[in-house]
Amino acid sequence: MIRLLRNVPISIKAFSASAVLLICIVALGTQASVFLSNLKTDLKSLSDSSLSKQQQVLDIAKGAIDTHIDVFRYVAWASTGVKPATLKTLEGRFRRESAKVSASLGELAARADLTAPERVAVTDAATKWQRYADAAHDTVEISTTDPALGTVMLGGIDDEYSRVDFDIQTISSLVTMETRSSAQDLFSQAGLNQRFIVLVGLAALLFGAGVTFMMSQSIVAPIQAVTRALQAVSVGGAADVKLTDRSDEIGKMWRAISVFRRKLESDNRLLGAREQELTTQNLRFDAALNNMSQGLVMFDRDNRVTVANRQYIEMYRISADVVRPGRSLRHLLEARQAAGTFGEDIESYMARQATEGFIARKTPELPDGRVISVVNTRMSDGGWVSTHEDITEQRRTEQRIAHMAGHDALTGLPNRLLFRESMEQALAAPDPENGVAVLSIDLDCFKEVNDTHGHPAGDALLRGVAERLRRCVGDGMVARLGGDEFAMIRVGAQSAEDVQLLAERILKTLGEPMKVEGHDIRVGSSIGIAISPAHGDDPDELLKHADTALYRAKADGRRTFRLFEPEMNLRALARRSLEADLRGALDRGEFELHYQPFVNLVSNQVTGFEALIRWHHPDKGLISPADFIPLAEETGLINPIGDWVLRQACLDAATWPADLQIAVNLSPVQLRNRALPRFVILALAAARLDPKRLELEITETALLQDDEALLASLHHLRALGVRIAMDDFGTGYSSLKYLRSFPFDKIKIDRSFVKELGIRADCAAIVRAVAELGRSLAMTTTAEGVETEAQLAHLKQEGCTEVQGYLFSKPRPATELATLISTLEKGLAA
Amino acid sequence: MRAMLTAVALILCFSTLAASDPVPGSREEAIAMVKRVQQKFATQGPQATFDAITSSDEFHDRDLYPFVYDTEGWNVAHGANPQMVGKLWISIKDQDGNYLIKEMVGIAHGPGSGWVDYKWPNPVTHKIQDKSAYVEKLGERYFVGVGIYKP
Repeated sequence: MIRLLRNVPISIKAFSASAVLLICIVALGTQASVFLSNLKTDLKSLSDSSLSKQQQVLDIAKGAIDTHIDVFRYVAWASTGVKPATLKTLEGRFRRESAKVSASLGELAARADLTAPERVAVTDAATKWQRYADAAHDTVEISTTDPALGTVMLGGIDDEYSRVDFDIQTISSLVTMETRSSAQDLFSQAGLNQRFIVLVGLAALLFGAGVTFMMSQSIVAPIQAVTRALQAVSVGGAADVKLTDRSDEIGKMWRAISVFRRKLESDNRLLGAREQELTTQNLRFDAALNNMSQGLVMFDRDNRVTVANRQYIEMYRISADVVRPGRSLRHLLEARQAAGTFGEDIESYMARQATEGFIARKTPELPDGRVISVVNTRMSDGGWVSTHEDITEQRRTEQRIAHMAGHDALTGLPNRLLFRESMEQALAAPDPENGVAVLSIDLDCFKEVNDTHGHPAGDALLRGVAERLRRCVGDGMVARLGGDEFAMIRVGAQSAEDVQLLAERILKTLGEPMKVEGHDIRVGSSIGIAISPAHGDDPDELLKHADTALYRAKADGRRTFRLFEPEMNLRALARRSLEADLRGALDRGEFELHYQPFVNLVSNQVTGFEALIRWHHPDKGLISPADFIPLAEETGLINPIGDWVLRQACLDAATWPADLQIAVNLSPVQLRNRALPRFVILALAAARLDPKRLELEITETALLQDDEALLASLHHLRALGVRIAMDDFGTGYSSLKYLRSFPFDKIKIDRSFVKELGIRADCAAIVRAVAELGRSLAMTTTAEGVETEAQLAHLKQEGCTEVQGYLFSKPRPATELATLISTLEKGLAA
Repeated sequence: MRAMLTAVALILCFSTLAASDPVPGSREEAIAMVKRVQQKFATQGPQATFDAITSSDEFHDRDLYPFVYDTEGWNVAHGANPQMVGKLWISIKDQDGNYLIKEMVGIAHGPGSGWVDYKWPNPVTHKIQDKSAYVEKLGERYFVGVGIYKP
């Protein structure tokens, strides 16, 4: 059966079940309808017959009572003398009532549906009523005239009434019994019908339940199986249900589900991959969002937060709750204000945003001083994204760079660039009453301080000077243009005297001793002044003129100031033209070396020559080294010139007899050049000259700095065999420290000692002491500037090793040396 | 007209009696009145006797009067109230529950004469009083009675 049902379509099964149930319901309904119809008929007969009979009987009983009471009432009223009219009315009512009862009894008797006992009882009642009525009428009639007799008569009619009443009660009982039996019939009939309906209903219910159970067995069970299988599939398990052999809807459904399941599985695999991808992307997005350097917050079209990153929260020191999605911009701003990271008024900010619209870019400064660069970008959905970057450091750097560009790092003073700008500004808006004064200030002995105490001391000195100048400047500007060059601009200089007062104040201030690294240093200064418009209205020109005046002040013995005068310009021009000439002199071959011999007093022989440079200026003729060497040192031209001297001297010396030395002077600038040993080696190599024949003369000032690198260079050269001599000994500090710091081969005693030898006793003593020192340190001692025989005699006496001077020969060109040597040797031999 | 005249006459008569404070009739007088009716019935026949009782003063003496019923209870003559004539009184019952006519019928059928006690209106005082009536069978179909009112 079940197997058969498996292949019947569900629709047919459902239809069959419904039909069975329908039939049951229709059968029940029909039965109920028939029953109700019968019930209706019975009830109708009951109400038409029994109930109307009963009603009539009741009416009769009531009418009889009323009549009887009225008789009594009449007799009583007649006895007590009630008005005849009232008695008449009462009599009329009595007669009507009595007649009505008679009529009712007649009607009842006329009914066709009376039962036999009823009919007998009714007939009896009618007869008795007639008797009663007659007696009652008599009583009333008699009572009118003889109430007392009426009263007695009441006893008689009362009996009559009892009889009538008995009959009426009998009829009533009969009718009631009839009604009751009808009702009982109806009740029993209803009970019967009820049992029938209940039984048929139960049967239908059982049948329906059976059918439904069978249907559910063939529909619900497989559906449950399918559901279980689907649940298993949904949690990823396998579906072990075999329903594909069914040919009903379940079978079709299962086949469809199988297809769907395979599709679902493949979709799930795709979905899993996608989800993995999304998770990765989300992680990347999160990582990107929270690792970007900017703070980011995103709003929707209603200014509600959609996303914000960690940097934003940290930047504004707010809680993460404030940027929870859905929070309003206003709430966010209030939180930021509370955290002290929103400096504007929220109301005006919101109003501005509403009226001025979208603000794409701004760089507000927070109350705590940070500067934030905010970039707002509209998105296509009406929302906007706002990125925030703390650019405080960048700003500071920019400001620092801007400051650095315009300021000197060491002193913090404006540099040349800024100074020039200031000048331009000052000159661009000239005040007809007051000019613009420019003061060019140079320290007098800065180089010496640098050389003596080292660069740190020099730097400290510069800082001190800057500080003092700053105090003097007032509402002007002071700048460091480079090295020990300072400059000051004074706007609104009332007169030249006014500016001169300022210059005097500066000189005084800078002239006071300054404590630098434990040393009391007295640094002087020179000042050159140029005033616009008298001395020009161009910044460069004005500064140049101030420099010219400065140069003049220096030339005039330093520690003073000079106001620019036009003729100063000429001198400065001369100097500049000399400098220009000097630059080309080497290329043009305008330099020449002259040689002065030095003579050994022991062997009485020429032992070598000192090379001395000469400049043949095409226009000015021969120019003294004293005039152009400082210029060359200042301009750095000393390096190429010195190199040329070294090479030329070596080349010349190579042509001489091998026992002759060649002495070359080195400038301190050359000495500080690390490449010096290389230049020397190259020069020796180029001339194929024995290093032992080369002697380098250095001044003691070159050693002032205690420069390790310089000493290393000297040691290097000496290791090659080159001899090192100390030149001009006695002019500077003449400290024995320098003699100890390097093992010199020779000491050259300055010409100033030789000049006064024989005149001042101390000079002889010094010469003697140096000679003695040289002997004990195994150094040659050479006296320079020997011009007389007396000087020579003294030097011999004091124990000098060598002499040099005009007494033997003034410096001669290389071409004349061969002649000179032979002449000298003849003279020396004599 | 006659009835009215009779009524007036009766009222006059009663008022006269009342005024004269009449002595109630005695048992002997009642029996005597019955005998007189018997005699009249015997001599003049029923109709004359009945008329004389109902419509004349022939048998009236103070509160004494005769009444005649047939043996079924129908009144045929009445000395105090002519309205009672022609009506069936068999089922009448006094306040004490005595079926007085039935008792009288019983005497007529049985011993032929006797006394019956009951309550009845006094035609003189118009009050219901205890009455004792002497009853005798009258002819074959009737009986006659005269009662005395007890004070």
